[in-house]
Amino acid sequence: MLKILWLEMKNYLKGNAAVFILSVLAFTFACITINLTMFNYLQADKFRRENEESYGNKSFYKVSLPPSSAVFMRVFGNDNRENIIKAFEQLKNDPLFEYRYRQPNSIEFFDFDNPNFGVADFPRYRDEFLHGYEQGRTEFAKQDDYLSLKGLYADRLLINEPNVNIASGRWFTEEEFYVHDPNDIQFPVILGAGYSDLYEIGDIIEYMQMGSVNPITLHVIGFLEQDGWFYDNNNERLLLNRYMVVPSPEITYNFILPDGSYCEFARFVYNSSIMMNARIVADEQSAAAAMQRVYQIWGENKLYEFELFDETDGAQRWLVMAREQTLSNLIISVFTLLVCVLMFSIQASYKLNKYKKKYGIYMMSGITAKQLLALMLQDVVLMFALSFGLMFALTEIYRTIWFSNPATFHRFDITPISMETVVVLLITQLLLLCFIGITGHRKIHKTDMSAALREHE
Amino acid sequence: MELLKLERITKKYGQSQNITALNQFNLNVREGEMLALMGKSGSGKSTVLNIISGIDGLQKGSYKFKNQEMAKVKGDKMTVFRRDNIGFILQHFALIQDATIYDNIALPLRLSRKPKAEIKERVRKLAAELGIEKQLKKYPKELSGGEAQRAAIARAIINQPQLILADEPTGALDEENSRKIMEIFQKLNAQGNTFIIVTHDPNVGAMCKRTVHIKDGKNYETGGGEINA
Ligand SMILES: Nc1ncnc2c1ncn2[C@@H]1O[C@H](COP(=O)(O)OP(=O)(O)O)[C@@H](O)[C@H]1O
Ligand SMILES: [Mg+2]
Repeated sequence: MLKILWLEMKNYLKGNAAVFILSVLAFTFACITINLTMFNYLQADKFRRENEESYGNKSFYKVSLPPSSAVFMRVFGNDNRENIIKAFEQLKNDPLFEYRYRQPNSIEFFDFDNPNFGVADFPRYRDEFLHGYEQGRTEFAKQDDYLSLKGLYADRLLINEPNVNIASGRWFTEEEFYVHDPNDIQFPVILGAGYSDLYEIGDIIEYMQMGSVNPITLHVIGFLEQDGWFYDNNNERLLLNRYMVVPSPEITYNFILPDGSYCEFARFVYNSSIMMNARIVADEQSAAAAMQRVYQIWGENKLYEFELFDETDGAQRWLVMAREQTLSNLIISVFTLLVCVLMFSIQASYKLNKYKKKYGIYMMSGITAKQLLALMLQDVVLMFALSFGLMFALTEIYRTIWFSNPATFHRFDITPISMETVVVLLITQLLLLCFIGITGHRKIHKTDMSAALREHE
Repeated sequence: MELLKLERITKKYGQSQNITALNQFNLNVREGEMLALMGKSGSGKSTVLNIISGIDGLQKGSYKFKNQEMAKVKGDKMTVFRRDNIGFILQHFALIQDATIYDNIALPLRLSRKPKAEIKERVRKLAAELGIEKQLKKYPKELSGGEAQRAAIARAIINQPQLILADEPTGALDEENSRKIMEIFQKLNAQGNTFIIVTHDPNVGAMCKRTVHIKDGKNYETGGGEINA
């Protein structure tokens, strides 16, 4: 039987090469549009789920400034620091809304240019690096002249996040959020689960930071649960396994130092990120009032340039756009599929008419219905397989050309072929095969084989 | 031994069943017979063969093959029955044009999934017997009418069916080739194959052991001709 299939295939391809190639191309196009539709759909769905999970029934606002360096310099300049701090205190303590200000920031360990922080002071830097970054970046780059790990400066509310939990140890106390003496800075640190086999509670980690001359001492007081995460202010999940979490500190001393200079540590603590990385979260009912209150606080502290950006509303609009995109892709996919179906059925009945006598001979020679169906469907199956392969190849090529970094061959995650797409395509192909099979079968039944056999060649 | 029995077969064609191809037709065939079915064009001869082979169904009557009722057998069961019991030869040779003679003859064996070596041996042997061993690599178009019909015969009998149905097997052949074909049939008949040969060539009829006449789908007695042998 295989031999018969092979012979038939050969003859078919010889006689219908153009039609076959056209069908393959058409179906490849259909596959690609289906993949795009699926991709859009999955993206929009993921986005919607994340929004629901992240926003719930609350309103989220992001703080923004006009994109002008002059404005930025004025707002975050040393002369305006008092206003920023006052506004920050008010925002943080206002009962109308939550003020979330967690700032991912690197924790720097050594620096070849700084004689106080040489490699010798950090004998375990290799281990620390291995634990601080995901696999794949394990080789510590020699030419890097400093070691920096991922740090998160946490506000008091971080521990309220549903997916941030302490596995062992404890959360920060209120007192630990304050620094009283710039020459003796000690922080408790809660480490991500990735560090659990390198450090223990009670360990001390020294590091250099923020241009300070003296090292800062970290006391390990706990570990986070494996795979803890929260939505950062870009509404993306921040996985905490490789993070060192320290309190986002406030200072109680006068940051104009006795020699008249400005305390670097204070400059770091109250830099732009306590404002620009912040999110304002309010209940929906009090959202308008909260917004008004925030503008009032800014106004009182002469921070007129700040604006609030309604994240929840923006996300909503983005979602509508994504859905529209999905719909338009879906229409194209369905249309191309319809064209393919039409082409197949024309092909099928054309084949049946052309090869009527041949099929008659097969029937005379004792071909079973299953065998006949295999004979009729094999080129469609081949076509599906080829289109499938071509779709993968084209998608890969397309991604490589347009969405990759040629230096590293790293491909960005743009329109990859997902498992879902493969499943949808297989189901579509199966349905099409059934459709063609059933129509083919019905046609065979309707065809009068005795009449066909009577025909001359 | 009785091989098959058609009793009061009625077969109508057309959307409103207005064409009566067979009308209360009867036929008995014994094992080892060589029977000529004769009649004018359109009298229903091919229809009889199609009903025996199961390519066509019937509306009324009974068809028994080796005492088994076949009227209700359908689908793949009928296909397998046909594959294992019946060889079919047509006037216009009915060869697959884009396959070689070898592939044409091998078709029934391949459909019943015989091993490759067996297929090769049986096709070679039969082709040699029928004098077409040199044509195996050729395509049907490259053969003469006589050779093509012998190839068609080879395909029809390669499965060693008990019953061979031939629908005007010599209709497209000259006298010389017709005689050769009939000699092959006679030889096969002597080896035990049963033949039903549709023809309106009296010479062919004369080379058969028995003749049944059909007219307008009914049995038609000519002189001493009888329905049952
Ligand atoms: N498939 C068919 N559709 C309609 N009429 C048919 C069909 N097959 C045969 N007939 C009719 O049935 C009658 C008998 O046909 P057939 O058995 O082919 O006669 P013969 O073989 O003796 O020439 C004819 O009138 C023919 O036109
Ligand atoms: Mg006829």
